[in-house]
Amino acid sequence: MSNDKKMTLNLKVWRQAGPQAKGHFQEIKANDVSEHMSFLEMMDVVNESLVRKGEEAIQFDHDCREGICGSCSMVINGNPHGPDRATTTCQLHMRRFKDGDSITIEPFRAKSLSSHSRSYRRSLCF
Amino acid sequence: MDEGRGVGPSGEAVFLDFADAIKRLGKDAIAEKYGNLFDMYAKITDENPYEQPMRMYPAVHYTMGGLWVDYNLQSTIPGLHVLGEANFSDHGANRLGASALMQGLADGYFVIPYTIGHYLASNKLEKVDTNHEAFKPHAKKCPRASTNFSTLRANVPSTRSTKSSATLCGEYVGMSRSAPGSKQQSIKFADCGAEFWKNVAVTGEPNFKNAELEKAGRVADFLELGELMAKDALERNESCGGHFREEYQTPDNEAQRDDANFSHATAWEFADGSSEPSWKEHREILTFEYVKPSQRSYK
Repeated sequence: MSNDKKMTLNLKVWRQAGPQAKGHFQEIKANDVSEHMSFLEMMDVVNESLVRKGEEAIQFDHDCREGICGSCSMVINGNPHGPDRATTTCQLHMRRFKDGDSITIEPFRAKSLSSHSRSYRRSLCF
Repeated sequence: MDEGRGVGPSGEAVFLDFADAIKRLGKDAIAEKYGNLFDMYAKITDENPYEQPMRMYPAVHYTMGGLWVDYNLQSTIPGLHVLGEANFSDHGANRLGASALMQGLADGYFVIPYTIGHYLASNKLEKVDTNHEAFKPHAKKCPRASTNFSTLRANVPSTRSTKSSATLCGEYVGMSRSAPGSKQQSIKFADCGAEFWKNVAVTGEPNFKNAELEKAGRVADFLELGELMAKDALERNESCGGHFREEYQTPDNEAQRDDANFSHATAWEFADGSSEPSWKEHREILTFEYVKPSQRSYK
């Protein structure tokens, strides 16, 4: 069994209070991330630490968490669902990243999901 | 696992080793049958299951049965149709595994498109407004409940309670139950609940999209459900279907039913109002006319 290497990642997460709000990137440090965690598990851990500090958690859609439904729609470093082909965000494991990496996390971008349309609010990571 | 022989860093896994099968049938034959599962495992663990035993960990991920529906997938509430795993229709009382997609597709793709039209065409859909007597008391309760969560400025995310209550359920009302276990469950669950209500933190806006609020509300429901599962397990003094009571088994460790006393389905009615929630038992007697239940045997 490989070592459980822990890493620190610098996340840049898109936060937007609503469809009409301006939105901005927030820099958040993810500490003690295990290489075995999935991307969503990392987000869960980051959220737990935000909530403990009294801050608003990062909202993201998820459902099956087993790579079937496609709900976990994040754009990771510019790629929908991250760097791997045929791999949803929930099946992306943190060993694909290394200690000290910067990861930009945004909602899906598409004309039909522009920041001024109501449907943007549905599949939103904010 | 109970004997301390579990493997893996958690000590709670067991090994699934295909070495003998690969030696006997060849790697290609195994890859053909299980290749996609092996690939998924390799992706998750970064280990090669063709060369190393796989670590398996038991998890509960469905319940037995579901809501009763007719052939049009309508429940006993007019207009309320229930599809997929939420209903009982494809499996009855003993839901077989690995059929989630089947249930969703069978009902969602092959059935409801042909049956919902009948309901819509043969019923006048009256306009409903918020003066309905069923709506008014809840319209008062819900915003208050949301605000209650948000003003509890404690500091433990609700996920902690999700994990502790899940562990309790797995231990006491999982695959096997017992009378002392069910009683322990009730006590520990009550503690878990007290801990949750004292320490839960829900940040974010109460009147806007708020996943923490949604989670906290669900945990509150799960805590009640967990206590009820223990109560129900304690009441049913037999082993039947997905309910295995250690005290009621055959000499070969198979389920031992007591059809004379327990040939019924139980529904529990929540009785609010007092300081302690209480449950009222309702029984639906089951009579089998043509196909009678027999003793289950996997031999």
